[in-house]
Amino acid sequence: MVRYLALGVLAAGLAAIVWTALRGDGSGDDPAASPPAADHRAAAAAPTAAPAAETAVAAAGDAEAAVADAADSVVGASEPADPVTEVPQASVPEAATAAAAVAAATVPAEPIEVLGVADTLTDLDGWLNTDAGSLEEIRAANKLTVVQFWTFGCRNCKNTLDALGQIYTDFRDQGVEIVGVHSPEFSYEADVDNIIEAAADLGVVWPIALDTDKRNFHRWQPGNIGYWPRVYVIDGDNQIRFDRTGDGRATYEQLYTTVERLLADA
Amino acid sequence: MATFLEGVGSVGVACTLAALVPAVALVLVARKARLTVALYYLVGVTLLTWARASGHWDVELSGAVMSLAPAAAVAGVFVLAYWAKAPASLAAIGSGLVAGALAGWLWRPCVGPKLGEILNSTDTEAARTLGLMLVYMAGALLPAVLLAVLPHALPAVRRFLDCMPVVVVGGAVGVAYAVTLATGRYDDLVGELYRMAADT
Repeated sequence: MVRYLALGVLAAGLAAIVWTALRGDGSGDDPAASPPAADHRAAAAAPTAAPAAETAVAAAGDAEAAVADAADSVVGASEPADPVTEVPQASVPEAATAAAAVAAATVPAEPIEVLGVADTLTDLDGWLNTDAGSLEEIRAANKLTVVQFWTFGCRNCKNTLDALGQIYTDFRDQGVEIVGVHSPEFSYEADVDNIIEAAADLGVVWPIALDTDKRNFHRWQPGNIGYWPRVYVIDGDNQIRFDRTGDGRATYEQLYTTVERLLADA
Repeated sequence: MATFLEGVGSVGVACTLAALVPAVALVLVARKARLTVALYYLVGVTLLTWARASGHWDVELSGAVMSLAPAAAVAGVFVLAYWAKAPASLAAIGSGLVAGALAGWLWRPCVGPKLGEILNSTDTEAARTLGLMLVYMAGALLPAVLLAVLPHALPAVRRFLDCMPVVVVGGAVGVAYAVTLATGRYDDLVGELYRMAADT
């Protein structure tokens, strides 16, 4: 009897593994932007986009030279360009836009609550894709700042990049900036060359803060927790208006509508 | 079901290996009580992961204690699991529970849609999210659970798993786990293992 029960568990478990292997993660809830992913990445990797080629690097101390060297070696950096123009409008996934519009229409018009005061970013190892040297500088130049903690080796983080690209494309010229705080989990993710290469491959054209020692990752997520990815929206008063964990499509549609509504209120 | 399958899908992700590898090693070491150890490991990792997310467990160690306490605990649970004489023994239950709790305490997950829903709601829907966390972790730790079930389904496998070299492999992973925790290199080890697996 026990043996048959064990065989049943074994068969069911193996079936679940095979099913998942064939169907991706197998969950009913799609990650943030799986269908448009190819579109955005293709656009970002296109020669006209070449986001990394115009990568502006600002780094502190020794990291500065290392980052700059890495940028040169990877892409042969030239002068910085307006990153807004680097994301072709054609890459905007219509399905995601429609979904966001539907979500926006169904979200009740309740005020978006203040979740707390945003922290700053300190002890960074440098910045990529920007001339700015601090979060404050970026915040001061924009109405809203989307801060995401991510690392390039994290599958779930990568699932969110197209949704972030959508926000960047749609709202960048309205005063929304994205800051990707790169907090590596493993040592190979801490290598600046690898980060630059991955950012170029993934089409990450927005500013990246290098949080190699994860000091900011832990300070922003206090209490012995730490998740990738985690995304915040900070308004002009330095208040957190959105704070979610994970790569769910619903989460990033909610992020889109939150940014949209906050911009309308600003 | 979707939550369970997302857990299963996370098995191939480096972040999950940090919790899964110790579970598999412990199951290999616990010859007399594999299923008990695996199931209590599942309970332990679920409880601590949920407690951390909901703010009920907010303990942070610092300095030498941070390195040595988890390492000593790991060494202890592996010895305990090896010496467990019966499935219902206190040693089996304790080793699984403590090892799972330790893994849940140290684990930094990459969060998918379903796990994200759980973590985002732990403070408002305690019972529901705790249950869902158990379902998710059952998926994420499925290889360890299946390894524990295997000898019950196929007696021939039991003889293979009971042989000393297999136990030594499990023990070696346990030693590496303890040493890398003590030296603060555990994440690096998992990262390298993942890269090696991805390259092959």
